[in-house]
Amino acid sequence: MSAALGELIVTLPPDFARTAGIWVAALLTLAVLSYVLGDNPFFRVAQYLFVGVAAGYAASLAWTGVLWPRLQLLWIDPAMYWHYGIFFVLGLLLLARGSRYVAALASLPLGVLFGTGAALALGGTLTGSLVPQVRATIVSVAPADYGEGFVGWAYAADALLLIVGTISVLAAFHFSARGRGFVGAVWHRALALFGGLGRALMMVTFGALLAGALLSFFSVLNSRLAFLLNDWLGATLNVGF
Amino acid sequence: MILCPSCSQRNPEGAATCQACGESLAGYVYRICPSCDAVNAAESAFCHRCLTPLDGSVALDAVASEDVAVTPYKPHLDPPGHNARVHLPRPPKGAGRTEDPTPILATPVTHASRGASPDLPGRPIAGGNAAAEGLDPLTLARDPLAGLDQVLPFEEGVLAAQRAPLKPARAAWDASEEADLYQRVATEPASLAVAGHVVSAATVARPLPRLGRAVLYLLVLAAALAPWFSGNITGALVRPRASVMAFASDLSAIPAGDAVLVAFDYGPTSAGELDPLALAALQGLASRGVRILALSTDPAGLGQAQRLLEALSAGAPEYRYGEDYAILGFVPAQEAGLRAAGESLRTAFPLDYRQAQPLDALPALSGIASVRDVERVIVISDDSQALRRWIEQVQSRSGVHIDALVTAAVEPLLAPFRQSRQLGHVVAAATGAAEFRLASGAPAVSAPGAVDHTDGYAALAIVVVAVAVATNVAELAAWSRRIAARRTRHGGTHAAPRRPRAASGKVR
Repeated sequence: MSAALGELIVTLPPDFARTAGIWVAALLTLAVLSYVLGDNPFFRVAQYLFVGVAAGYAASLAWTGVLWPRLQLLWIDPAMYWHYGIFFVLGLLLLARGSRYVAALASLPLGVLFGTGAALALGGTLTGSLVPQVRATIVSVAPADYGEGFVGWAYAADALLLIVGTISVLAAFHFSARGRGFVGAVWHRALALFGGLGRALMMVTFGALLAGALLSFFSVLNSRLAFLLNDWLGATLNVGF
Repeated sequence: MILCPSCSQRNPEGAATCQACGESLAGYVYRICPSCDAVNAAESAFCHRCLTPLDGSVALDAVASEDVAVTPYKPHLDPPGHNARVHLPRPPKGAGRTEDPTPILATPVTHASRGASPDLPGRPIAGGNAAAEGLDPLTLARDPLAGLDQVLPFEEGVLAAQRAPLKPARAAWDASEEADLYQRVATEPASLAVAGHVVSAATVARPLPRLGRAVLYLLVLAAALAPWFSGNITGALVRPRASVMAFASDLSAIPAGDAVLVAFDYGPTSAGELDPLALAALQGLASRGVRILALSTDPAGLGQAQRLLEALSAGAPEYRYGEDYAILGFVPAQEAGLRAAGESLRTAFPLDYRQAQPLDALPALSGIASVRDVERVIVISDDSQALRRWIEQVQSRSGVHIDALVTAAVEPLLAPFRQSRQLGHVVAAATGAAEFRLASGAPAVSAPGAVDHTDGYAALAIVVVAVAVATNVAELAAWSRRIAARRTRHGGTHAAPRRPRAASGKVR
């Protein structure tokens, strides 16, 4: 059986693998595009195939690119790479989650995972996003600081828009009861005014994001059509598009 | 008023025992409104129908005066503009509860006294009182909602269920009694006819019909196919933006022999958009002899890296793996992996991805221990969160310069990081590839026979604007028709009848 298979493979043209890959990709592309006609089995097959292949590829990459090289190093030189052993044991303990009798053993590696991730994320957000962003919002609105003439005024207006936009968007997410007295009424009125402006700015922003998403999807459609016309039909029919 | 659960006697508020049978009222279930006789839950403070306080704080005598100006309320007969409110004089100060509350016998309110509905016969209840003809002011004063059942026939069923003599409330209802009550309420006819107008499904708004959706799909497909038939009309109109020019200029200034770390943080989904720009940037680096070190935080990104770098090497055979470029591998665990990679490349990547060799054995990594030793980092990504992680875990700690080649959907999300100068250049890939090639002096298309997609983007813009204008014009026309129809329905006035306001001034 294997000998016959080997003989068959030898008789195949050298670019058979590439041709088969193009045909599979073309058929799956058409299956995905068939969703414009509604949900159908071809689209479902393509969808499930994509999820399964992506998960399998990620798992194989995790083994070949991350775990296996470190296991090899631990085996070759345990004195130098002993710490890999600890992490492998923690990883094995994580598998205990699959059994309810020993599921408690998975608490330790889960704690390490969540704790480390939370600490890194929190620290990174504070020092990498929050502080720099706040600092970047403290800008001058004086035209003289940016240059002379129209350029200075343009940059000053941009800085003013940045400040007003930041405050108004923050005000849009302020929910509180109306305060008492004149001061409370004025404060409530000011918050309502800035909040309305913030909501308008957010609508403009979402419109820009939607436009960008539309452009991205169109680019992907372009590339898929180029593949279907040039790489699939063009190569199969030997015509140029 | 409290309804006795034993004999249905109506007792004044605060009574501990029934005045008729002496039953304890500790477990009473219902309270009767002294104004409209509606049955309310025991814990209610106000009548659910007429909002009269149930504790008797409003004296009934105030409504018995003939000086009360009452206009009969007939919303389906009277033209708009009539104010059909019932004005009750305010009770004098100090008027509290009546000292000697006279037990009010159960005077069932019949359908006839409230104005019988034309489609439901009047059903006088046991002990039936002689029904008053029409609507008298006293009846209206006690029942402000009198006559409304002619407009809202369904309420007739609800009212009928309330007016029927209730069986003594007990702690536990018999299941059959509950079923009987539910059946009576649920089976009352609820006509959809409102003032003679039948509400039909045709007036309900429908989503975009299939034909319109198909036309939209065909228009977008035609725009996508435009580059193959238009002959590159807009190619000559492309002008690189200032940001793309600056990026191309910075790349061309990198000395030969320096190393650039390139992160391929995208998968095949966005490859159609990012590949042309990524390949153009890599070709620009390779042509100047700059070393390229590739890695990825996306499992599928290594495949993109391998494919593009092999295509690059196929076009420039002198650019070899291991000497001029290398693929380091996959960075797992997101923040933790990036933190480790930023500190030490050899700790994060014991072996390289392609040849499984230690990094020290590759000449491309000579003198490179961490990201601080590379000239800059170029992140190619379709995810703004990936860029944020790079900035938070790598750039904020090492100060390395990061440029971003991203999809058009992600570019606006990175504006805050450009403002704070945490990101260097941000180039969107949709039209960025053609712009970059023009800015770096290369041909607009990457290979002979390849298609420049700028005509497609222009066609898409025309389609989007045309559809937006057409839908807005159609909506304006429909709005005008609705205004005209409403004007006709309300006899020449533009506004709908004003709804009555409650005592608090708020519209109900």
